[in-house]
Amino acid sequence: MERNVLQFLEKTAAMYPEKTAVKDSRESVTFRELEYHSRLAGSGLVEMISRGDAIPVYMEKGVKTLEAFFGIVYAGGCYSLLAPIQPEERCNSILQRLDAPVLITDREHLERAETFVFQGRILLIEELLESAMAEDKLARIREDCTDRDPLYINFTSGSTGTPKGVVVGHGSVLSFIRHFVERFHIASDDIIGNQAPFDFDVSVKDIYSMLLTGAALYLIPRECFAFAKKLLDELEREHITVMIWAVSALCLITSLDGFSYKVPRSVKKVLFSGEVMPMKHLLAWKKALPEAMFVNLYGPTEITCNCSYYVVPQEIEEKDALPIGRHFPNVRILLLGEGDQLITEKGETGEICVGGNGPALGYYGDREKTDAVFVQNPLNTKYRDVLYRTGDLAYYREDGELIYVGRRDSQIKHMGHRIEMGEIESCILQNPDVKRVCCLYDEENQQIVAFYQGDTDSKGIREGLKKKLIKYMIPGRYVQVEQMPLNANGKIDRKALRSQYIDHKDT
Amino acid sequence: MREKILEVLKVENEEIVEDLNRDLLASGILDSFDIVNLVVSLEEALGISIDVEMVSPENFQNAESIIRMIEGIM
Repeated sequence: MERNVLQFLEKTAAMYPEKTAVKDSRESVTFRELEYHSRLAGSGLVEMISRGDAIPVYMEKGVKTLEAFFGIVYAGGCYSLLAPIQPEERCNSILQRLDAPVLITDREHLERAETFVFQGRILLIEELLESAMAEDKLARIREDCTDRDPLYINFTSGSTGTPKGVVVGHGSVLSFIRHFVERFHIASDDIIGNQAPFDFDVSVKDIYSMLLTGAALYLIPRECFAFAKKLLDELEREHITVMIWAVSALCLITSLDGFSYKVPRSVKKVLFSGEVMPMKHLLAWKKALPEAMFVNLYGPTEITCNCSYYVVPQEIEEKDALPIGRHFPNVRILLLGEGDQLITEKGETGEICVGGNGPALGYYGDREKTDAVFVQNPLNTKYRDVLYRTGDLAYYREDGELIYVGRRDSQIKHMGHRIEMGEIESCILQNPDVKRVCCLYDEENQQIVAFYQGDTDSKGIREGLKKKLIKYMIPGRYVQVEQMPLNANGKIDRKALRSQYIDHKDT
Repeated sequence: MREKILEVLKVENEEIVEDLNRDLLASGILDSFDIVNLVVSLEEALGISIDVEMVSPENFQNAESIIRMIEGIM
């Protein structure tokens, strides 16, 4: 049994050495080349990093980015993609948290990487790929590996203003991907069309399905997602058969009625996650691809990709709810109600808690936040049994399928991204002219609205935020209020703000 | 009509109308999801239908090109 994801790569490279593994808009590699290049990168890194080090990779998604990832893993470390679209301050905050001895980038991004507040060495992937092979050293690292070792770190919005790094181990990915490709019959003759950026764990399914099955992975360039026509042309030209996409990306095609232009007929499987799929859009996809399998996937990054799935039946209608379904093998889902009692009754709402092999290793360098949500199963007093508390609410439908209800807190989903309003608010408060702030999500217009009290205009706030937050976290609308409504405890009354300004009800 | 279009653009994102000739794609003001949202808002507010083939880099380069595209449709 495998203990390390690279064993997937090595087995597949032995079975399909000359088959295309990954292709981007510039280059492509076979499985043999992918393994060889990754070993070279690993050989170059092996003397510079220690076991378990978290190594930032500052690159766009691409073939070489994957070679950097696997090179890091060969050298005993774990990788964390630092997306170039992020503003400098956010990059610096992540780099500070990772505290890495080296950072890997490419020639294209070197200049900007050099401006970061970073004490370690900056290495070029192009140079790492010219390293001398150090097979003995890589073999020694492999000998000592366990499936509890960390594999990657993905940063997600944190309510106090700093992003949290979710550390996921080899064992969770090995187990999840085995069941994932088996359930959905992903095989070597598939061509997976990657949509998700590499700092988003939807991409973990693309990458490791390719590695385990020998399927080809085509990385669709980010720019294509701005124009549905281009995107449909790409899907057709590359004969994509499997799409594992964020809901918002699928809706991008149907919102523009893209199928009136072209239907990508090679697509056999469409698996989606990230937020609730609007039924209208799902039905449009099903109508265009009546033979394809559609699967709703659910799960936050902290439980390793997904913990439940629902294969959409043929006869589903617009009025039906779309369940998040049932658990994957080797993962346990508990619904916990008030006072942590176990919910088994149909129709009763509780918090989704996930155990088994799914839960991540925690938040990197943050014991306190880890302990707050990766908790001992309150129903088990006999032995160590970790549950991740998702903060998501759900109930069992009559037929036993789980139905998602909403959040327990002020976290929202915007364009498929998980955002803590607290992170935006604490960034706005860094502006000395702002006295109070409260951010709310306007579901109908899919817009984050910032309410603020203070002596400044929206432009001033927005310009400040651009330096700190990724674009999708920056509010689309700013409302200056004379006086924030407060509740009895002296805290901002979110409900009053919402009903007054978003729902337009008089209070 | 021009005023109405500008109003829709402004509600979507104030920055779009700050300089009608600024390149919205190169400056990063519009990303993939913004463009779709903008198209849907324009369709709803103006009661028009924008064909997927018109959603191109040329037509969404700046506020002026968006206005030209819509005036062409109407």
